[in-house]
Order: sequence, then structure tokens, then C-alpha cells
Amino acid sequence: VPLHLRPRKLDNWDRPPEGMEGMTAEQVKQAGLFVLPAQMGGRMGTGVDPGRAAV
Amino acid sequence: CSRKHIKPSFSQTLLLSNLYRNPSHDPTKNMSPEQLQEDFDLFYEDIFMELAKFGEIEEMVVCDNVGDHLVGNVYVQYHYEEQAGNAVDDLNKRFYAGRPLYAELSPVTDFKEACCR
Repeated sequence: VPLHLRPRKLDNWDRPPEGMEGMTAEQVKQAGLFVLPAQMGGRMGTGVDPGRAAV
Repeated sequence: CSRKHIKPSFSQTLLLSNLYRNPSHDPTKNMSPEQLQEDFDLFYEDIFMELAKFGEIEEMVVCDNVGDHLVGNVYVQYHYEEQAGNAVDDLNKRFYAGRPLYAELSPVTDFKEACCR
């Protein structure tokens, strides 16, 4: 069966976030609502408990 | 890896950051190994079929690492650099499962040697 004729079992492609149906993916990313964990930098902290890190 | 590596302007390999949400990392979901495998298989197939539209895929890998910069990362190696380039441009404008995609080119050429130092 050619790939494009194979039936899809999931429907996740091009499903925008709820309430943002009118926006493009670029706009949503610019809005800073879906920042990748790796891009959070200092804002997310290092995952080290600050109390323990000080010891 | 999406850490501070040099981002190439040409590469056969495409990276989709943090795309797969492994249900086993979600404490509210209690899935059996079979269900987890099924979830993953469906995801893999869904991604593969869409990405194959940009060109012939040599290899596709989904990261199982838990680190922030690696978790759920999907790496796709195309036969031609041009195909990966086109895929990056298109995918960055699209959503998947209610989230915008983050696509970029990756310097990885051989997945067996791919190890962040």
C-alpha cells in the first residue's frame, strides 16, 4: 500500500492548541506559550533543589 | 540534542524537539508495557507517514532520554539535504497534537555515534 493511501490511525497532525485555532504556528511560538524545556534556560532552574545545592 | 551545538545550514538530518510525549513519564497514566508499545507505534507511524512526504527517509529515531533537551526528540535522516531543508521550513509552520512544532537541522549523521559530550 503506498504511504499516502494507508489509513491513518491518529489525527494529531495540524491540530492547533485549544482556543488558538485561528493562529499560525509561528504566532503561537512567538507568544511564548509553548517554549521548549531546553530553551527555558534559567527560568526553569537546573532541577537542583536550591536548599540542597547551598550545602 | 538541542544544546549549544553548531547548527548546520545543510544537513540530511532533521530534529523535531520534544515531540513525543511518552505516557510512561506521566504519573496520571498507568499503562501496561503493551499499551506503551502500542502508543509509541502509533506515534511513530503517524510521524513517519507525514515526514515521508518530504522525501525518502533513511532512518528515524525517537529519543527515550529523560533530559529536558532530549526528551521525546525525533530525529529523521533523509536521503537528500534538500528534503530535510524543505521539511524544516514546512514543519515549523505546523502543529502536532495541539502544540507547534520546533524543527531544525541537526549535525547528526550517524545515530550510533550520536552522543552528546
